[in-house]
Amino acid sequence: MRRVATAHQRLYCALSRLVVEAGKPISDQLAAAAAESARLRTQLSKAEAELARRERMFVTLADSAPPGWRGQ
Amino acid sequence: MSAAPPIADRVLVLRDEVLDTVGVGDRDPPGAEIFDAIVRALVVLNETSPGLDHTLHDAISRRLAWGDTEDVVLTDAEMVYDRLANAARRSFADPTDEMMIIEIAAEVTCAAARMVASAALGRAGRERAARLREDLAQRRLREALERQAQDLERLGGSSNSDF
Repeated sequence: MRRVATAHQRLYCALSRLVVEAGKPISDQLAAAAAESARLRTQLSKAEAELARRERMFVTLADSAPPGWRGQ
Repeated sequence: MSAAPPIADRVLVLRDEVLDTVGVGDRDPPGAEIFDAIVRALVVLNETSPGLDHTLHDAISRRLAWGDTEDVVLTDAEMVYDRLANAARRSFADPTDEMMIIEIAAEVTCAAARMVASAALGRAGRERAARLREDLAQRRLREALERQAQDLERLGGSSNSDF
């Protein structure tokens, strides 16, 4: 009886571990996707900062041009 | 002659030994929820089966929510079963009592394993949905990056920037 009960209990725990292990790749994929999203967001914010810097540069150039100057 | 105390009370005496409370100090010992569920099952032994033990379900859900992994919960359940089986073998002279305790302990730990597996399946479903959302977000981010690259090119590519 003891052995049967122990085997029964071990079997259930092993099956549960199999289910848990089967779900591991999804967790890993989610972590990788979240890391990639974070990288893209960082890249986007850097590009946004660069875009703002260049726009400021162009505005400064236009403001410092002599009156009546319309470029070349 | 006084009647013997109920079997649940006699098992409750083994709590400190089974949960090794001396080793882990006064904090909540691991596997306490399994042991308590076994005692509750022994209390209602001769009554109609109550079905799912919601207290055990809540306790396991709480442990998983607080960051314990499924593997840790299963290991604790196995540990409680092993220690209780050994303690019952030593402490109960009547083999019927011992068999009853082992049977109930196996039932409760199997129920806990089912709950853990069910929680793992639910988590996998949620994580799969979250990954799909991340994929959509990445697609939008890449489109935004392409638009930004075009804007940067329009504003002049002579800058010493990385873009």
